[in-house]
Amino acid sequence: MRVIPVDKVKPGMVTDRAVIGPGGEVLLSRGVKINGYYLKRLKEIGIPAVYIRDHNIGNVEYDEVISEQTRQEALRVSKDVMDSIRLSSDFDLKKVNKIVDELISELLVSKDLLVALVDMRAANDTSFYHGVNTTVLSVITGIALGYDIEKLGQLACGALFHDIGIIMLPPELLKRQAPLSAEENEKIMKHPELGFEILRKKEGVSLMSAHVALQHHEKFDGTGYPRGLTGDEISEFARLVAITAIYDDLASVGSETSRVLPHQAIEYLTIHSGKWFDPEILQVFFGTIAVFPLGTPVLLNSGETALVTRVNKKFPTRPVVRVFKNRTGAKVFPPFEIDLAKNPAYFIQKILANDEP
Amino acid sequence: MDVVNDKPEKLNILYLVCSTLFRENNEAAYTTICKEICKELKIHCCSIWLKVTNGQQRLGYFEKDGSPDDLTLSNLDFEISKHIMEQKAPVIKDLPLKAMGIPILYDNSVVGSITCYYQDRNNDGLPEVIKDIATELAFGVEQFKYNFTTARQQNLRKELDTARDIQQSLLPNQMPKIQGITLGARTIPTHETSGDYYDFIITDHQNLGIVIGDVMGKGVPAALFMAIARTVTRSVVRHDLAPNAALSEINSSLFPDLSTQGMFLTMFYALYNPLQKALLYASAGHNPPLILEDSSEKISFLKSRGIFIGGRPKLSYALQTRKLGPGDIVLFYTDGLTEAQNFRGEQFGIEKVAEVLKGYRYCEVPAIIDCLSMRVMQFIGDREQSDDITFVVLKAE
Repeated sequence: MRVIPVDKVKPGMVTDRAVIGPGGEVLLSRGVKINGYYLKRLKEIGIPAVYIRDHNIGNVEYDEVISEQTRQEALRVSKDVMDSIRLSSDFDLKKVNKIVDELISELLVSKDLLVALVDMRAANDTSFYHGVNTTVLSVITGIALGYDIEKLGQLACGALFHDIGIIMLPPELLKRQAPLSAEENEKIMKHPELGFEILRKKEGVSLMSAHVALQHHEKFDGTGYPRGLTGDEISEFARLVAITAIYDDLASVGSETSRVLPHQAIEYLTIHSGKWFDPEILQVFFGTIAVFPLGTPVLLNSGETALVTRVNKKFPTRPVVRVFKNRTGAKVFPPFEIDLAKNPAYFIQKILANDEP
Repeated sequence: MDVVNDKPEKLNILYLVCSTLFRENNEAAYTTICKEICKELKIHCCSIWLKVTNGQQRLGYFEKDGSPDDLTLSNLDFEISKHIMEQKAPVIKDLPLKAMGIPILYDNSVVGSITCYYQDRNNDGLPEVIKDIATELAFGVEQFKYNFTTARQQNLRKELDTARDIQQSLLPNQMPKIQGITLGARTIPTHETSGDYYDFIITDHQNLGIVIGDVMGKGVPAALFMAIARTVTRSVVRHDLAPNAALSEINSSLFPDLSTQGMFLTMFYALYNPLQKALLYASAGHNPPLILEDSSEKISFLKSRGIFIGGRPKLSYALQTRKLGPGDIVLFYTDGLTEAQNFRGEQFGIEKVAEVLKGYRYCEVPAIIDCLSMRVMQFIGDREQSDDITFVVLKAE
């Protein structure tokens, strides 16, 4: 399994993870041979990179934290909710509760897993994909914080719709590339309040969830908006989603060169700890993500080239890697694996570019 | 069935090993040898490994019907070969397949390993054949490392490699467990031997001594002095001497030898008291360690004035104290870290080091070490690393 930028993908390559389109639909499922037509579509849609199966390296077994089916359903429900709010300012809460319950129960089962894959998507993607990813990251963090089912439900609902206010903004404003005028910026900064109004009015939605929408742009030191709250004045859920939402934007959106690797995201978030983010929640969150996602090609200090094939929750920087090139660059066939947690003399010296298959 | 005692087959395979390595000494040759061993001895899989500093390199591997979709054996083989080379002893194991491997010895030292994997086979005689093959392989495996050098260079390289191996073995391979702190260390060596070193010593009163030093100069002389400095330091600090007194003592002991060679070394010595959660320290011209306070996120330095060891026959040093709060991180390092250069000739610099340390301060010590070393190696990029990089991280709980 290798992450290959779409412009390096060649017809005949086989996907090793489903490719999801901008509407949340499956463009290509796992195990599909890519042909010229598919490749053209991927480029048109702006998918930055895909997971490709590499026969020289062999199969990589992995567990997703949620099933592809549940992810799909969550995307579909989010889309329906947004469409329905646009039309009637209302939505079907039963459907939302059902998918939230499903997400939580799956995440409780996989609580020993790390988020070890990256969801790559185009920069112009609609916000509900971001909502679903943020929800997954938030619930995992909530589980790590010891939340009960009820709290997880409120958190999940808030995370899923933290950006819901955006649909009340003029669509042409959202499509505009930066820089925005001061006036336009001010409009965008209204989305927390707009979202809060939608959720607050909906019967059955917890006020705790609504506050996630209202406060997710507040910053720990009081420099956020809309109200400039500090520390504990911001609800814990909102402090949590402020972290997961930014992390998802950093790690998932954009091209191969503009996306940020998890270890870089950790550095970035930590630098802003105590200023933008709650330090305690941040540390718990770091325990849930893989520093080196599966399929990351790395150079070991031994000079060998390897691929990350299994993550290690206890030692996040010491995954199992599969050596496929020796120190002279010659192919190692069949490859073999080194568990870095058990072999302290070996360490990852560099992350290599996802350039060649 | 028992082909092993069959003399012609055994001679066959030994001839093959010999003649293949005579033609060429590369990975392809070892893979061919593994393949032929499997065929001739009717076994399932065979591997040959080379021992290198801090690790091992697979020279040859053949597995009947092997494919990257099932790496069970190939993964297991890494661990088994490691075990053989570390234990310097044969391994016979009953896995789903039977495994039998032995170290390859040259001049009485382990240079590699060879392992066979087989199914339900009467292994009578197999150990003898493998042993003969290992003997036949020894010279080739030893030579493999020095493939591209002339005979004279080979001897020189070999001695330097031995020096480097010894030097690496002088560094602590396990972190001492001290209540209230976690420790970690890393050395990223260049191809040459050099004088970087660190050490942890548990003193008579159960305090922890932390030493980091850098012998000026490179090559074998630096490595030799590093070894001497280590021994002298260990014996001096064991009795809970205050760090300033310890450095004076070390200087007095080393000065005669250093001065005749015109050499000197910088050293930082800290004594950690677990009860008071405090560091006592003194420096002999060494880069001041960096301390990141968890509560304030403030970076400061453990500064202390003092002349390098070997500067004068009698030297005195200043003693400093620093209390550690929970979450505080101390980074001891040699200048290889801050002076690491990228292809533009820019240095990594202490500011960058501090920034990286801040960025990973919530991580556990092993992750801080991995991330810092990755950041500096990423910075160096394709430029050749010119100096050893050594650092020690201490994090208070």
